[in-house]
Amino acid sequence: MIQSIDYVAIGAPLALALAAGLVLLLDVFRPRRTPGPLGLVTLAGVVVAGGFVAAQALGGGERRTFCTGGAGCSFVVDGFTLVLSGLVLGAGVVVVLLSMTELAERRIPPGEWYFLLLCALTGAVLLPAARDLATLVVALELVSLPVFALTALKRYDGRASEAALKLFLVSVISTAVTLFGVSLLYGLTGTLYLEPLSAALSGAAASGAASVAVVLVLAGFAFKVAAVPFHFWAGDVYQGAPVPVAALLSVVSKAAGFAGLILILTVGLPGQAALWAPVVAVVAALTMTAGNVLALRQRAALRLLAWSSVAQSGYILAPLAVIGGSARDASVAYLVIYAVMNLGAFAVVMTVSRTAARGELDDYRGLAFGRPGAAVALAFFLLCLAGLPPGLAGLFAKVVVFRQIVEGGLGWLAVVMAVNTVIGLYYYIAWTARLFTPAPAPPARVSAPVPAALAVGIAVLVTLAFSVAPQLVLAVVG
Amino acid sequence: MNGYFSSYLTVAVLLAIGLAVVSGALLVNRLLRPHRPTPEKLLTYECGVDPVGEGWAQSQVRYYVFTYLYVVFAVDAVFLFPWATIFAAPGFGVATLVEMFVFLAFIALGILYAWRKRVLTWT
Amino acid sequence: MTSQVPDLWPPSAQEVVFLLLGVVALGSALLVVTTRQLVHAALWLVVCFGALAGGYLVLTAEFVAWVQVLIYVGAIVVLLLFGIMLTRAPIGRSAGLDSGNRVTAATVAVGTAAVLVTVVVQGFATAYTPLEPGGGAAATLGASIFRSWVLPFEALSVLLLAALIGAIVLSRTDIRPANPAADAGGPAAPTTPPHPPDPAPPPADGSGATAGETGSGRVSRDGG
Repeated sequence: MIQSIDYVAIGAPLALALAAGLVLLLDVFRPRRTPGPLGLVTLAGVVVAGGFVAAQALGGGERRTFCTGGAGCSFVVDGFTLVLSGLVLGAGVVVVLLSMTELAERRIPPGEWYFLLLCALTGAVLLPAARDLATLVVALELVSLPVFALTALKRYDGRASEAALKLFLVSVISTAVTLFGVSLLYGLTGTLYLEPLSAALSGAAASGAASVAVVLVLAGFAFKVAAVPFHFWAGDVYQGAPVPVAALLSVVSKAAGFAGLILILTVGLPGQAALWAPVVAVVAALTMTAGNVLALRQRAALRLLAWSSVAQSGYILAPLAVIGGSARDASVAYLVIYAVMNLGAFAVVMTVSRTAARGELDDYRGLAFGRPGAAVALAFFLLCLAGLPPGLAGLFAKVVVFRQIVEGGLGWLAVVMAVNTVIGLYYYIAWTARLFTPAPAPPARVSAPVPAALAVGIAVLVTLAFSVAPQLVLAVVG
Repeated sequence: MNGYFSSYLTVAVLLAIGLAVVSGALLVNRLLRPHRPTPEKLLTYECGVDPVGEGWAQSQVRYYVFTYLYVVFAVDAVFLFPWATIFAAPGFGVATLVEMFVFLAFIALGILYAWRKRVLTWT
Repeated sequence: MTSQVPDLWPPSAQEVVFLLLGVVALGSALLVVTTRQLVHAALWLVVCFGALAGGYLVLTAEFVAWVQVLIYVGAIVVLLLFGIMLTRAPIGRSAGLDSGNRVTAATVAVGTAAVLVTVVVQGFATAYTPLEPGGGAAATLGASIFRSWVLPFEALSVLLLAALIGAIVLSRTDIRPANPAADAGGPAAPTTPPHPPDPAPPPADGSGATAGETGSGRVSRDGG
């Protein structure tokens, strides 16, 4: 009568939650003023969770747990779940390494920081496995809420508090909108599980209430991934938050938002595709354009990265507008490649911003002469994001998405994407060019601290691997 | 059906009687008392001294923290009430007991944290 | 869930009570957003939540009604009031509460309400359910949670703990800025309480000069 629990299936989120509790205990009982092993414990927790994901991937097969008799299962581990969990945990490792650098020099309480980070990662790992709307919404909240606190954790900094408040207000409104849509869906079908939901809705024609419910749910998730017209928060929040949190927002939060969106649209509402596919197409086109156009005028590095990641959200959304089976694989593949490129860019920005005064693009002039390693890495990541050789990973990602859109018959969207890629080239190349132009004052030769350098190194290696062998991603995803 | 609604009707009537008693007393007071305000009578009372500045309330953050702790544990209690009515019923075994204890233990870490970070001290 | 559709006239007692409670909830909600006295807004919110709880009771969702009273009225409104006291603590009318967007806000609100009401009425016009007490009792909900919804329940414990730790760490007063004299600009952290207006000489007991700092948590023995 009660649910059976497969502990191996829920190993990843369980490991992360236990690690979070352990980090909190360690922080509470450690002697004052010694940082202790908190960062390493966090890293160990993320690696153990990654081990569970790897074991399930190698073991193969689908695992379903927390099932109720006929209705459905709350937690399902299949290929989609494993890819996104792996992505989130890999991003988690990089964010933890960046956090070690950030916490070493600022007066940010470390125990709470790592605890909140682990909670956010727990939610991000739970979300791709959730197959009912209640677990989905709880996991979405679990991803968002610790990030509000993390953004504001740089106390006495006006920008950080402003960023946290904006992020909080936007997230809360989007959750309210999503919940209204969810309640309408429940009222129409009587079930919260995604597969029975799609079965119940597929019979009847799209009634007004069902259409509004779909649009509301879509709007709620569009806030989360900063799609137009809910993108206004991105610039201020990415700039005001500490850099590791901005990296977390741009990769982990976005991955979770996309996971939820893909699950609801392709598993829960496939019958309504005639309604939401055109909406998604329009939103994707607008997001790409808005992100690229807004990025053209940016002078601050983090704001530029914010708008560039909004544009990249548009590229990830585009394949979902194709009504068909493998469309979501293209989205997931782009998401994975984008995640590693973006994390790398944030990691290098983190190492440079420690010595830069204002965090503006002009601070990067002549970086190649003072810090060649960082400059080459950043140039590589920017070219990947732009989709130019030698950044082949980004190029392959764009080709996959492009092909999917064209095969799906959305010619106009393909044209918009091509135009946007060209617009994007401008600011990526402008920044890259700055790295190699000689600066009036030679920058100081500073070496990056070990954790941040390690983070950059990991991102470079994985991006190179994807550039050389993109089938690593495409085979796993598709 | 009638039992449920009639019992809540009783509750509503009690609430109405309470409101009526209080507002009735105040209303009678207002009708019966003399009402001749002068500017001096309307000044805020400050121990007999002339009041200066606006009215403002001095409060400290720890009141907010205690209220916040109450919110989280009230939500905790909200889950305890339904659990308490069913965990001993047939069909829910030790698993249900353990699940609730896991829930409680995790949130109890918050109290431990608040205690050790000296958030719970009053002065 | 859809049983035989009853006639709308004459309305049953439950429908009349529900309608009246809805009117009270709507009216008090309007007052919350239009009143000029900040503390009154919190108090009208109590009335709104109470009316909603009454609505849940009429729909035989007993447990949800008492959860509404316990959590919303009992905890959240208190939080709101403490928040008001910590940041503005106004007595009487406050100026400048309006953002100047009254017309736009009203238009958007009315439009949203119209869309949502139309959708709900159109989608559920024939969905009637008989009100049978017992469906919303604590035992039924508990059985449902521990039979089908254990995963979100356990995830909620992590969420609640994260919320608790996040709120506490953001309001802890023993974390000082790195350099108190020259720290980064921008508005002061939200934990400092309002200072009394400057032209006023300190209140009679002489602790006015230190009133600004007492709020930071180093408590004055008498002020407390």
